[in-house]
Amino acid sequence: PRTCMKCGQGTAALVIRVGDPFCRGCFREYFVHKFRAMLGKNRVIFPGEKVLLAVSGGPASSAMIRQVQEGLSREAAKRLRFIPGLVYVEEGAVHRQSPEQREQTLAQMEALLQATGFPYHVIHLEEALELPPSILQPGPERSRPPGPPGPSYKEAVDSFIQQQRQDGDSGTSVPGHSTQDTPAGPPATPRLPDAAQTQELLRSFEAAGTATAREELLEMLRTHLIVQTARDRGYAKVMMGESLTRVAIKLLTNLSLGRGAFLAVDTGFTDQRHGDVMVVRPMRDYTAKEIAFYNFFFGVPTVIVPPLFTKRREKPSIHQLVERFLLGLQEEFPSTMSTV
Amino acid sequence: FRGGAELLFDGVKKHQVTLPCQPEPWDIRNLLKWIKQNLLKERPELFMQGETVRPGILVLINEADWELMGELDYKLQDQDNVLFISTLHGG
Repeated sequence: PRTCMKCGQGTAALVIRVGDPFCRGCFREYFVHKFRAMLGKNRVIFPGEKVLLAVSGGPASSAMIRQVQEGLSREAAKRLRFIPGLVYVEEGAVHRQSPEQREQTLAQMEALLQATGFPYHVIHLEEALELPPSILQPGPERSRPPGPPGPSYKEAVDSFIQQQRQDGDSGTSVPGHSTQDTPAGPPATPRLPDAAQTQELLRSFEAAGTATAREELLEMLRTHLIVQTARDRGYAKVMMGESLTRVAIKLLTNLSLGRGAFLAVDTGFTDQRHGDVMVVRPMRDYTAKEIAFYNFFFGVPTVIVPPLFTKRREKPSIHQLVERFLLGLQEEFPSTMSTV
Repeated sequence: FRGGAELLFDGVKKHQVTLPCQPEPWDIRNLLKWIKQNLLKERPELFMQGETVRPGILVLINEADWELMGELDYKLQDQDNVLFISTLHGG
């Protein structure tokens, strides 16, 4: 067994990047540090701000939740200082799940969301049918009161810390209850949208024609729902859990789809095209492998749903082709993803 | 099997397996062949590619990256634990 290249002592548990063996302990530090550095370097999340985490139950967004929890519980000097909420888009309809399966997935996700202690919102993809047309336009920038311009990031952090010291530093503690935005106890009303709405949603997806168009439609509706939720609930920031792997695939896919002009916003750390709601991607430097190992070693809960339905004789979508292409190349050339 | 890989194996995550005696040594290469013939319920191309696992599927031997253990050439020992984690469709 090989030794960790970082501490020179621990038994290596995995290989990161191109041939760097790390032990579990050093890997954990590396992983946690990367998240903090991402937020620290980019300086877009201000202290005390409300941030909506978009979660799918998948490995990357689940790892993201864990990083936020870790960050919020750190000792005062290095603690993350924003106020998280969670949003989950239930997409069982387009995954061809039966109502029973959807209920089951929903139950698993609710347990996961509740366990975090953060306020959470569950929305169904069917609700996209009711989005206002305004979703297609960037929202107005929050109107600033007239006077001197707002504080810079550094000033905001400094004054926040000052204030904390004066208040006796109770910290931006996370609310212990998670029921702020959901009813306490089992809901009395059925939780899935009614069949007519599901049918209408499925009709839109059928009308999309190709697997590629369906994937694009799903992503678009999901994003719009998330942004609308943020807007409705007063969140100016949304964190999405797209990993490096996912971002690389998205980049090449979008090029193939003629969306080259939007590469920067589609794959960058920040995406400001929605105006009043800024999307950030703090997981974009983590490979799928790093996330999978982290989740396994440190018990991060996930909820797996079978992938988007592809009819047997139908050609795969461009997304799937690009995924296959990049993952295949990555096997032989481990810097493929990060280079892309 | 985890991360969605279990879906190819009737949803069963943990399989306790006793491999038959044979003259050739039991390495991961041969284990994969055996899995393909005996455990894989459907769509083998989603799990394997040629003689190895499909790109996107991680292999852990006794909770360590198989890259540290010789990958396909690793010789299985009694009571070894092999874990396959799918990283496909993870978001």
